[in-house]
Formats: sequence, C-alpha cells, structure tokens
Amino acid sequence: MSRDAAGEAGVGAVALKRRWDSPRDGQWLCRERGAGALEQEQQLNAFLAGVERRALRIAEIGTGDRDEAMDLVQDAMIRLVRNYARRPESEWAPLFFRILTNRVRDSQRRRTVRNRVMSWFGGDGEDGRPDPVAEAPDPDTGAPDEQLEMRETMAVLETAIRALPARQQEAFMLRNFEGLDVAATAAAMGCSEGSVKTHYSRAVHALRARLGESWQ
Amino acid sequence: MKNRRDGGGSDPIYGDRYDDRYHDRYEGSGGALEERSRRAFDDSVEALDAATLSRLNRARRTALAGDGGPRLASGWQPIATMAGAAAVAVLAVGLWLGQMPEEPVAERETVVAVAAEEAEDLEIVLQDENLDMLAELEFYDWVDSEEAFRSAPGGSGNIG
Repeated sequence: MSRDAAGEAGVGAVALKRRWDSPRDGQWLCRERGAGALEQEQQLNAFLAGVERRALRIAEIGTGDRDEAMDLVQDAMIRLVRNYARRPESEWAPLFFRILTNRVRDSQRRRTVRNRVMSWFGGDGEDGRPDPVAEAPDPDTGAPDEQLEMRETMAVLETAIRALPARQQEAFMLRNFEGLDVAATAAAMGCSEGSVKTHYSRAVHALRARLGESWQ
Repeated sequence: MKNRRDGGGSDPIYGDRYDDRYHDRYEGSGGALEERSRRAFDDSVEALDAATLSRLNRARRTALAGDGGPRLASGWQPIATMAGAAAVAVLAVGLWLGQMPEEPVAERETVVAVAAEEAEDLEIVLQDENLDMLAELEFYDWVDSEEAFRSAPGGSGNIG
C-alpha cells in the first residue's frame, strides 16, 4: 500500500499491521500497547520465564553445547512470540517444545553432517579433547562434594540419554524432565500418543540397561 | 521459578493444571530411574550459574520485544542464499554426471540417490540462514514499504 493511500484513508501503521495480521492468525504479536496486548505480553513473559531454564538444559543435553542450546532456546522463544502468541495459553508449552525439539534435531543432524564433511578433508570435525575451562567446576555453587556428585550423576545420565535415538530422547526429556503429559508430548513431538508411549517405554528400558543396577 | 518438587499450589507456567500434571506424572511412572533422573535434572537446572540466567533473561526480552525475528540484513542476503542453493544444485548435477558412465540402471539409481544425499549434506553445511524467509517474501516486502513510509516525512511511527 502506498504512503498516499494510507494517508488519505486515515489509516495508521498500526491499523495496517493489524489488517496484515488478520488473515494470518497469530502471525505477529500485536504491538499495540492496549491492556489486552500488555496482559498477553505479561503472560508470555511468565510462561517463557517458567520454562526457559529447563528448556535450556533439555537443549543442552540434546546438543552437548550450552552456547548452541542458548541460541536454540532464543530462537524457539522468538518463533513462539512471533507465530503463536495469540494461540490459547494452554497450547504454548507443546508449541514451544515442538519448535525447540525440531531445532535440536536439526542441530544434531547438522553436526553429524559437518563432522562427516570434515572427515573428508582429513579432520574429525572436533578435536575430541575436553575444554578444560568448560570442564572446570563452577566456583559459585554449593558444597564441593555435593556439587561433584551431582555433576557426575548428571554427566552419566546425559551420556546415556545422548546414546538414545532422537525420538526416544525427546519423549524421555519432555515427559520426565519437562513433565508434559502424554497428549502434550505427542503435540510437541508431532506424533500420536501411542508413539509417545512406545518411545518413552523404549527409552526407559534402554536407560535401565545402560545405567545399571544403581539406577533401578 | 518454582521447583516442581515443592508439591502443591499453582504454578506460574501451568496454573491450576500443575497439580494434575504433577500427580499424573508420578502416578504414571514412579520408577526409581525416572525419579532419580528427574531429581538430577532438576538439580542441574537449579545449579545454572548467574551468567547463564542473565543470558536467558536477555533472550526472553529480545523475543518479547520482537527484535529477533528474521530480518533482511541487506539486499544481498537472500541473493547470497539463493546463489548458495544454486551452487549446491550445480554441484549435485556435477557429482551425478561424474559418476554416470556405463553403469547399470540399478547402480545409476544408487549413484543418483547418493549424489542427492551429498548435495543435501552440503546444503546443510553451507546453510547459515534457514530459508523460511523465502516463503514470506511478500511480508518482508510489505515491511520494507512500511519502514520507508515511516521514515518519510509525515509518516506514522506506530509500528513496534
């Protein structure tokens, strides 16, 4: 729409934006600072603040890299706000985790391909050596013994989870870590509830076999 | 954030559904492995350092401000993306033609499949930006026209 046409019609940019959005339900968070929009933004803020830490850890377990996980979580937040802000609040959690798990899966695939391509050129994609800075304990948190035990426990668990097929990882983390029920997990994974139960059951059995008696 | 192991009450995320979800989950599983892994995970969440929490906070505010959506950084970015995709396609054809001679039909089909897979792999490697924006060029064109309108003398600046 031309500037003149907008001026003549007396239609402001906000109205134009709303008109653009109207046939594309939920395309963009309405920027109008009315009471409804403000309330919606507060609800979104509360939702994202509530899930962001667990989402980061789930993405980190999936990717093995915190920085990458942070990028994926931010991307999922942006897409949720941009595309689904107007959907009912009850749908936000499965939508958010669907975006996130898709991103994690893309990342895993990209990493696999990148390593394969690097191997063509004689490298292994990653040097395989642990980063001593990344591996160093965080000096700010808790009693050393307790922290060490917690880190070791989580490291063992993360290694076992990463060895699972991607769909089993997703089912286990969404159900067990995020606490989504079967229906919400199915929505987040884009599959049937029966598939969720199958993936979850197989994940638990595989983890039991891998982690041994101390985890039974 | 409320620790899920604190039990009852409403949750800032899930509201009144929190109790049901919590109850259902424990009723449905209850295995030692699930319980121990959940505890380890929750502990690791609680142990996130201040710098990470600050980054999460910034990420959330960026998302809510709408500053992180896809942008056309310059007019060259979509052109570069399409040029990259075209280069991948040319490379795929090259790989395919290079492996074509005097092979039986079944082997040719295998070669085509492998070449396509390799091209897809290369595309992933080369791809820095996803192609979602190409599907919404009309919208970006509209955004550009709105920005031009806003920056012009007398234009409205009401769009966030």
